[in-house]
Amino acid sequence: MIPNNLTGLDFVDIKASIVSYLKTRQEFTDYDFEGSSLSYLVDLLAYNTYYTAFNANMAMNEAFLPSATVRDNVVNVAKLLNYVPHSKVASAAVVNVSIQTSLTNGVYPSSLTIRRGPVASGGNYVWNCLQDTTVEVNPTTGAASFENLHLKEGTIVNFSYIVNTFQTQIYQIPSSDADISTLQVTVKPNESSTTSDIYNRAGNITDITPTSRVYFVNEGEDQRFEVRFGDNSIGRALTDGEVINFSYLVSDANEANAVQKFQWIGQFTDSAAIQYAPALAQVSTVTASSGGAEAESVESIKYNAPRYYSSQYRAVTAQDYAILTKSVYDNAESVVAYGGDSLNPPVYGKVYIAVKTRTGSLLNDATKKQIATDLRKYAMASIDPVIVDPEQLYIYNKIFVQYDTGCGSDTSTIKTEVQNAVSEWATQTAINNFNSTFRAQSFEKAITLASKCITDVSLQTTILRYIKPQTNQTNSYVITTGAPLYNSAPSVSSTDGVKEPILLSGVFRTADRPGVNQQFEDDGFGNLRMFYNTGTRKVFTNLTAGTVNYDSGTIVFGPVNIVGSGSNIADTGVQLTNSITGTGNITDPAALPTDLQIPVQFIPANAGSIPSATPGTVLNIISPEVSIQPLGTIPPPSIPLNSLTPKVFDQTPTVIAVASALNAGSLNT
Amino acid sequence: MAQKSVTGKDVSVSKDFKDIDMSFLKNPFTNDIGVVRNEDAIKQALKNIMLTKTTEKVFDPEFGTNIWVSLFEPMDDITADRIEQEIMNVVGQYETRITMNDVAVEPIIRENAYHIFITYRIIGSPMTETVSFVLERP
Repeated sequence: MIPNNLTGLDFVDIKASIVSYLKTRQEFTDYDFEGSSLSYLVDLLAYNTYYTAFNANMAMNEAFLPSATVRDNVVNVAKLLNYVPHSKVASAAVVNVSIQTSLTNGVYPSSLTIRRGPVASGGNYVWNCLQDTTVEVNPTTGAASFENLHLKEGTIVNFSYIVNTFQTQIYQIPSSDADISTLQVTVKPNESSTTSDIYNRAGNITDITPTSRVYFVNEGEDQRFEVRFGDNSIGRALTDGEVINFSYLVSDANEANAVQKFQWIGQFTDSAAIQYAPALAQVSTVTASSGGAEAESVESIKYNAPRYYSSQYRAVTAQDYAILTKSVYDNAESVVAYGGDSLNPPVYGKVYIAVKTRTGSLLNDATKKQIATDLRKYAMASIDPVIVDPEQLYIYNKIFVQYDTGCGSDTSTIKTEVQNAVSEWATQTAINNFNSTFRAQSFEKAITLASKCITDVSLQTTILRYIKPQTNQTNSYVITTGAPLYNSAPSVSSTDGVKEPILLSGVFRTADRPGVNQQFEDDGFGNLRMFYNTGTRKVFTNLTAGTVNYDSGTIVFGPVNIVGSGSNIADTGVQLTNSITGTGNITDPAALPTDLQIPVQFIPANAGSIPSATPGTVLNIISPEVSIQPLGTIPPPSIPLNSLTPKVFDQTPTVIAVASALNAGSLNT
Repeated sequence: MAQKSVTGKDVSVSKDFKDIDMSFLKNPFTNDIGVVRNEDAIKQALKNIMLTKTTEKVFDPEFGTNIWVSLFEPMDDITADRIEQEIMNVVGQYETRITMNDVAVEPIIRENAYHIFITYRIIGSPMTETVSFVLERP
């Protein structure tokens, strides 16, 4: 009987199959297959078969992107899709440096230069200026100031190869910690030559000629990148004896993020070739270091490579913009893009791209402009990419848990278990992302499962958004919730009586009443009204301060002129005419605070399912308030009318941190 | 190789034991590999078990003994007893064709070796057999 069961993959199955086959052979009549010499031979056969089967299985798995697990194999498959994973990225910081130059022959130098190289230390790391930077010196005072100087963390490494076309050469960058975006490739004709050509990284071969000085990069073995040059058809080929020099940063990636203080260690050279000591420099930090990131993970490569390929170097659909943004800006953790036509009111001819950074910080205008410029060359004519910050929607839950007192646990243990369960739930649902939806049912279920002692869970859910007013400007501010708002008494009309408000703002000050903290709330009939609190009663100052649409969830506040919010108020620059009603005027607009934000807390119509208001909205779950009560206690109402507390959110609240899933690509992790 | 037709004879329990000779010598008459039979096959199997170290056999790490480790222990009755126990356990587990009668382990102090005698009876046969071998450091 020839073995016909070929599906057995276990050693024991394979061995049993071989033994049952041998037993049917006349030559092996009366042989014993257990505990004997023959058993060893059968073991060897089975082991060999098992090994081959595993090998075949592994080889097939590793040949395809969705099933490959070893990083080098994933990278190799992605290479066929023309996808280059991003390397480690060095952390970057922005500083201002000023220095006083000295007189030479009675005149100050005309310019001052910082050379490429290590220039500052901070947070136990070395920070480099990646290109020579020259500024003009003030001829009267002799002061020189380097504004917005970009520093990158790491060590600049130079590495050379001599071209030898008689052997197969791989120009590998000999460090897996290199930041490839800082790679500078120069080629000189021979070792003694003092001049060299700069080679640029090629993106798309369509505009490369046979003489273009370009190089191509791809990831090689063990995360070491390889550089390839042209073949005289697509890019210039190198000739024998030429010397290639690589200069790049080897960095500590994300470990060097969030460094705020820098000490200058670099030399300055003026136009008269006089050097200035580092101690003379004054350094101030403009932006703390950020943007450092580990090399792209295996999961990320598997996700991005096919999508990058599908966009084919062209941004046509909104999804193409999102994918290309990730490739032009490494610090993007997640990106969402949507056409302006989907907005209310629609904006035609524009694509909006919301970028959530790995560090959580907002993009500055220069970076936004750079990303938009980088995307422009992929975009179709007449479509304008616009980079926007993600809008933040905060969900505030008060959790009321009832527990069985006879279960053998205590309130503090249950509280910790509930908080852990909430964090776990946030990670599993990836709630703090674009296009996510808060679902109260899964949230409650996660809490219920946190401890066996929990019998009931109820929630009070409210939503928080921030209005970011421009100081001392009369504007209207619109915030959207994306879902209907709660209507406290639908059958009551404005002539019948009054309704409970369902939204309340934090405190702010207006230009006409700079001496008193005001708030706004709705009247239940679609109007916003401003008031201040005397301590015993509310005094309404404006009954038509804006509108609320309960069905669409759109809140329009203004026109209003805001000059302060929360505790961020002006001590000087205002003159009060009445200290009780707070009326007065602004005498010095320059003394008014900036970066204002007014929290607005409101009750959604349906707290069971809260979607993102717009495609570019990120949901954040505020660390919830948990109260643990014994079984039998009656929980408070699920609609928190009259108990909105926006004042506690004057400062942006702490939200639940969601751990990102990373895989370094080892078989052992 | 001719295929054998499967008949009722194949399912009856055979009292004949056959195994490949570990010397791998050619039988001059049949030109086939050497074969050991019955009590010789069992003796060879017992030796195989004794001289295989645990974890040596693929996918059966518990097969074999650890008596070689005992060779580096002080040569006394305790060590001899430990070897004896180990042989009793492993043979009982892996050689089900016999019943053990006795295991004797005698230290040969002058030669730094143990002389091992295993006395057993093949199940279904009235004969008592003895296998003996000397264990010494490699």
